Formats: sequence, C-alpha cells, structure tokens
Amino acid sequence: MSDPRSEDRKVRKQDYMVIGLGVLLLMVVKVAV
Amino acid sequence: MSVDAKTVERQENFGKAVLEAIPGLLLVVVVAVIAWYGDAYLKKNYKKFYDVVLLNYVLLAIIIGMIIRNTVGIPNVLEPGLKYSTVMTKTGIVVMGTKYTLASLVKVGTVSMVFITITLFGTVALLFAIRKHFKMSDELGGCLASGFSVCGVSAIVATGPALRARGQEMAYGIATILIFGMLALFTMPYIGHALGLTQNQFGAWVGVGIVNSAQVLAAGFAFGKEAGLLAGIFNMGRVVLLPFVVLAVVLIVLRGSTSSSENINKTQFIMDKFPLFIIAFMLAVLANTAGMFTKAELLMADKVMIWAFSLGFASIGLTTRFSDMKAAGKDGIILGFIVGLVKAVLALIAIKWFLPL
Repeated sequence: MSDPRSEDRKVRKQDYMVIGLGVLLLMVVKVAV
Repeated sequence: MSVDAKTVERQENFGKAVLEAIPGLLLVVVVAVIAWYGDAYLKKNYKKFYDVVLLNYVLLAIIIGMIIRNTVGIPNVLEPGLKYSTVMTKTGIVVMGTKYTLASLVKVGTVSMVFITITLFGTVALLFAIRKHFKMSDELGGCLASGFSVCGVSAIVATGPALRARGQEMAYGIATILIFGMLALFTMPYIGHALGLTQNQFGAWVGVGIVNSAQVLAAGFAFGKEAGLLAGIFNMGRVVLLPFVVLAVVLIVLRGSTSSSENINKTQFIMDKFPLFIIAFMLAVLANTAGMFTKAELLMADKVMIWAFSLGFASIGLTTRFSDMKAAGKDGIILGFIVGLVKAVLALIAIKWFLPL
C-alpha cells in the first residue's frame, strides 16, 4: 500500500521541477537570441 | 533536527540525485541526437523506403531506445537518469505555450474540452460497466478506470493511494496503459494516413485515444508537427480534468464503504491533485499574448520544445521493457485493451465525421 501524501508530494515536486525548467528555458531563449 | 540541518540534508540529497542522473541523461541525449541525425540521413539516402514505413525522429528515438533496453540492457548506473521522460515532455509543454495566444488557445480549447469531457467520463462508465466480467480487485479496476480515461501514469499514481491499492496493482495498471499506448503509438499514424485524416483530426484522435502524456505527444509528432501540437492541447485538457475524474473514480469504488468515502475532503482532494505545471504553460501563453517574444525568440523556443520532447521520447524507449507485458496480467490487459480500443474507435468516428476540426 502506498502513502497518499508521499505520492502527492512526489508529483508536486515533479511539477515544481517542470515549472522551474520551463521558466529557465524560456529565460535562456530570451537571453540567447 | 534543526531547520539548518534539514536544509543542508535536502541540498545534499538534491546534489546526489543530480549526480546520479547525469550518466543516464547523457545516454538519453545520445539516443535523441542519433535519432535526429539518423532521421535526416535516412530521409536523404533512403527516401522511398522511409516514406513507405513512415518513420521519423520520434519513432526512431523510441525504437533505438527499446532496442538498447531489450537487447544489451541498461547498466544500473544509467537507470536513475532514465526516469525523467515525464519531466522532459511536461517541460516541452510549458515551452509550447509560446505557440499560442490566449485567443488561439480559447479557439482550440473550447472544442477540445467538450470532446475530452465526454470521452473521459464515457470511458470511466464503460470500464465500470464491463469490469464485473473480469477477475480483478475493485482497486485495480479503479486504477484502470482513471488511468485509461485521464492521463495514464499520473492518474494511477493519484488514484491508487486514495483507494488503498497495493503497489503491485498500481504497477499492473501502469504497465497495461503503457503497453496499450506503445502499440497505439506505432499503429495509429499508419491508420491516420490510410484514412486520410488531417493534422488536426489526427492530433485530436491521439489526444483522446492514448493516455500517457509522452506517448500522446510522440504519436502526434510522428504524424506531423501540427498534429503533435493539437495532441498536446488535448492532453492538457485531460490533465486539467484529472483531479475531478480521479475523485469520481475514488467515490465510485468506495461507495460501498460509507465511512471511507465520507472521510474524503473533496475540495482538498482536488487541490492536492491539481497539475500545477499547467500554470507555467498559461504564463508562457500570456507572455506570448503580451508580445514579449520576438519572431527569432519564438523560433528558438520552437527548437527548445522539439528537443525537450525528443529527449522525452528517447527516455520512453529506454524504459520500455517487453517483459512488462507479463507483469500486467491477462485480465487487466484484456479489459484495458477492450476499453482503449472502443474509445479509440468511437473517438475516430466522432472526429472524422462530426467534429469541426
């Protein structure tokens, strides 16, 4: 049996990682071009 | 433990995870680069054959990855870096926001949301209707219902714990969905071409027919860029509805045990399961609507998006094990495939003849 809270936390952490990476890439695009 | 000690420990864990991921990530990059340049080479030198088999960089990345995984195998040191396919494809989706303005998003979003909502809840109803003819627990049935309707792996990860499903049941559900998605990804582009579907029609079809985000995008981009973009929008529509569908499935499965279903705080449940990365996609759309990107920057963003997706596709191939077929179990596979096929056929009929795309 999995712990609901720890699964939610894992997904949330992944979402934060995606948001961070996405924003970082868009900033790199702005700076690099 | 003091706050400072906790912070230091967290930083150390993060540093360790990054270091461990590097070798696997390098393999992902190598596979994606080989697929990208292999695609250009094959297109130039074997055009006739290439056009017949309908290969492209998307399918090549997945095929090369699958061959490596299932023949020579992957050393343990590379495994940690291979589990980021979802992160890469979701990051690609955030950057994809620069392709839309608010007005264009509303235009494609309205039709897609109506269609997605019908297919989502229709799939849940269909799965629960025929589930009693198969030998499986309520928990596995619930995992399959949310997985085959909403968004594959994320939906099962969200549903399983709430239903107190065993880890093995969640693994069965996930394996069933990924196997179905992989077969769909390699067959749907051929069917789409044979039926003369337009880019938008095909994008909508895979957007509801396949549930795993990375596989949806791979199938779409395997057919064409426009199809890939619309598939991404449909996929996002499903992701937005994830918390609501998962809550519905959990309440249906737990309806027998009144105390368990009454214990669920529905608003909190939806808040906890809401996919936050959608907010970053919307920010990218708003920034583009406000004219914050020049034409050259948008072109660069397009390249970044394609590479983020390509890395995700290479990761899917590198993590696909043929032996997972056995792990999924016979009844789960049959039920999943019946529901997946019925949904794909009904969606195809609706898209080809009734939907204004």
